[in-house]
Amino acid sequence: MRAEWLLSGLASGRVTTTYPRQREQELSRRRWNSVPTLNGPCSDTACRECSEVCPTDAITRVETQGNAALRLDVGACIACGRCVDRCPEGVFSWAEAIDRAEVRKERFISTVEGGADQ
Amino acid sequence: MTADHGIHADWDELEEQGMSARLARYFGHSLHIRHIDVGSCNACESEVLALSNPYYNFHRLGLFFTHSPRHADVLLVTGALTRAMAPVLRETYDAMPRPRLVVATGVCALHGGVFANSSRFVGPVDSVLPVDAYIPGCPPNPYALLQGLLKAIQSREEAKSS
Repeated sequence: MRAEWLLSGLASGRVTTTYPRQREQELSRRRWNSVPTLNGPCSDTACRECSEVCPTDAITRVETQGNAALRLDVGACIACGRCVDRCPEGVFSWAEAIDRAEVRKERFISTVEGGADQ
Repeated sequence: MTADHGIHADWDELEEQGMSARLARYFGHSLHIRHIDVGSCNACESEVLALSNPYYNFHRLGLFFTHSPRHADVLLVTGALTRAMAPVLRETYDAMPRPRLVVATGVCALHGGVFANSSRFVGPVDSVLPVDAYIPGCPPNPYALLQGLLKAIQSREEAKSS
């Protein structure tokens, strides 16, 4: 096992990641299911599934005049994936980026406005 | 929808200006990291330790772990801040020479995560210390840790220029 790893390193010329320099190539070598993202507005104003299944209250629904606005805090998300599995509308999907460090905490919060009141 | 985190823009900006030049200016070509666990489940520790393995090898960027806060430039905080560890974290921070950076690592340090409702949980790390970079994830990937450490230096520069 270790010999295999060493030989593959010798064959490719390196065993160490080049991460900060060739970021795109390094990250595209694998699929990352790191954190959910909001795809779009939620049209079902009666559904509470996502905010109820979230174990860390990272998802909140704000009801304003019959519309359902969604707020997702990536800084509080433990990536359990329950919202992605349970949402009947498909509002949540996995993001591909894994390096999401920020200098300001507010930038982790993404919001989506409520669906049109029909 | 305002979900754009601006990852690419920030990273390009960081790359353009040269990270090694920044490191040289502030910390003499190297950055020494003191890692403190203030109530973690050890998932973050597993990822933090992976930084020094041959694959991620963060020494190539001039980053090193140190055992004493008196030798450290960066305080890497992992875990949900417990009541018992709050004064210890404060003492560690006070022992560090200036300029000093604080990086909050993992959802527990940022928000509390699944421990947010615990009676022993004090609060997020930024309620106790000024935090320069936040790394989300449960646990954060070593790539994310690397980016967070480099972003902390960027944030210090932005604060100085403003």
